[in-house]
Amino acid sequence: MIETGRAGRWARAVVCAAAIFLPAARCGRPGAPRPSPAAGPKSMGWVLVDVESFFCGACLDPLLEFCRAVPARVQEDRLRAILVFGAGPSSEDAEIRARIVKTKWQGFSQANGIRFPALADADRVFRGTLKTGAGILIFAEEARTVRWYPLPLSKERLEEVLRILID
Amino acid sequence: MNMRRIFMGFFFAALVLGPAYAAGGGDAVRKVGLEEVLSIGGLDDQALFQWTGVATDGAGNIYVLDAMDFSLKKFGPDGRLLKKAGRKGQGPGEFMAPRLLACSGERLYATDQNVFGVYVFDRELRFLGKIPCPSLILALAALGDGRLAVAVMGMASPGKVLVLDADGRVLSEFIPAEGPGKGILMDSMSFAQDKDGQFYVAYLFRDSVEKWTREGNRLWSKAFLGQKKIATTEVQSLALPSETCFKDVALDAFGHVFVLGGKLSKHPSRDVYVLDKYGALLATFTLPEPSHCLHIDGRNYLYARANDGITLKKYKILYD
Repeated sequence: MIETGRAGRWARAVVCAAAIFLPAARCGRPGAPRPSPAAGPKSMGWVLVDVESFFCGACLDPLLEFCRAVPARVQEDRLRAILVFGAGPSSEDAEIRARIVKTKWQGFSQANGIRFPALADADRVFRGTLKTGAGILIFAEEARTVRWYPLPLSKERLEEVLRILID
Repeated sequence: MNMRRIFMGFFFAALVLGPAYAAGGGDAVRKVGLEEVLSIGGLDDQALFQWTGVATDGAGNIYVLDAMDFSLKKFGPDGRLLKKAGRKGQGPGEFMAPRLLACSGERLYATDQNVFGVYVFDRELRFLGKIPCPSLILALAALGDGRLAVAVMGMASPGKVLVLDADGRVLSEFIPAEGPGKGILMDSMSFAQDKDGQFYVAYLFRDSVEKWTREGNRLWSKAFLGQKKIATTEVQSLALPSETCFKDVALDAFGHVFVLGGKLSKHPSRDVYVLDKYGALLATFTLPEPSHCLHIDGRNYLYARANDGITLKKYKILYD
């Protein structure tokens, strides 16, 4: 039923105002209520994992140690694994390798209680950054910096990373 | 009457041996091919994540160790997952780095890379105990009657092949490599034992396949790769071999010796050399994908790796 009276016009005006105003408020536009710090962009971590290290018994121990120190909720919200791997020259090889390493990660993460999902570095962008083992690329929003933390982390460096991720 | 007996004797001999020779059971094999009959795990499922060891039983069940989720899995003859056991840890039935697997009768034998011993499970994957071993294990075979053969790593001394009883007592031993001083890891080997109890040994870092009696006498030694010297890489001031010669050896039901070539073969980790019991090269064939091991069951089906370890392929061996 379409309302055409004065009450109907008011109702439509309120809905339209809300439709315009609320998204603007979420985006923090001028005139909108100030967002709380918690609603702002979050610091994130990309955990770069060399897939060849899966075959080396102790090579990923520092990664597991790091994961044990990060609360499950933070892992889910703030971390992503980037699986770094080598592949043949063709894009088809790279695509198949990407699917293989994601399958391996499923088993590895399930068995080790890791909560963050993984993406495969299909174009091998990070091959030069990570030679072996694992490391964390931290996008620190407050400091507006990107920093690289190779694993294993010292106690101080671990506290620093946790502070960035949890704040 | 005697003629009739002789005829019947030939008839039964033909009945028993005929299918074997029709399938290429004699040493007259000139060509070997594979026909894929089963595939377990793949890009679109999570049956396997990184399988390492494989074994089969007489009923056609397939047992697999998976290093990525630290498990032992049992698949039916149709490839369906029937059971899964194990998890990461050092407690009973747990693994840190599962590697080798063998099956004999009702028992499964599994190794963990850094454990001095062999874990024993029943065919329902229930953990039964551990057989102690004096050193780390590089190769494993179940010999029946609860006996095991293991190749153990030597650090100061060369590696050995030991035959253990069910309690881990050493029943016999021999040293296949020609004494110490050959370099670290140079005695890394895989082996298979034939029905006469003799061992076929293939070396990981030496261009050499050998046959040994259980008393430790070498019967023959063959090279197939034309490699005199293996390249080494320096790791923390140690010169370690970096190129593999032979990764595994297995026997089919006819006694043919299947040796899987390593990085130095023409098709790395794919070429398989088929030998007779005297070491003569009968045929070679190439696996569709690189594999780290070979397993052949009692019905001449060959099992190998695909998709970098998330797939196990079962092939029928075709003899010509």
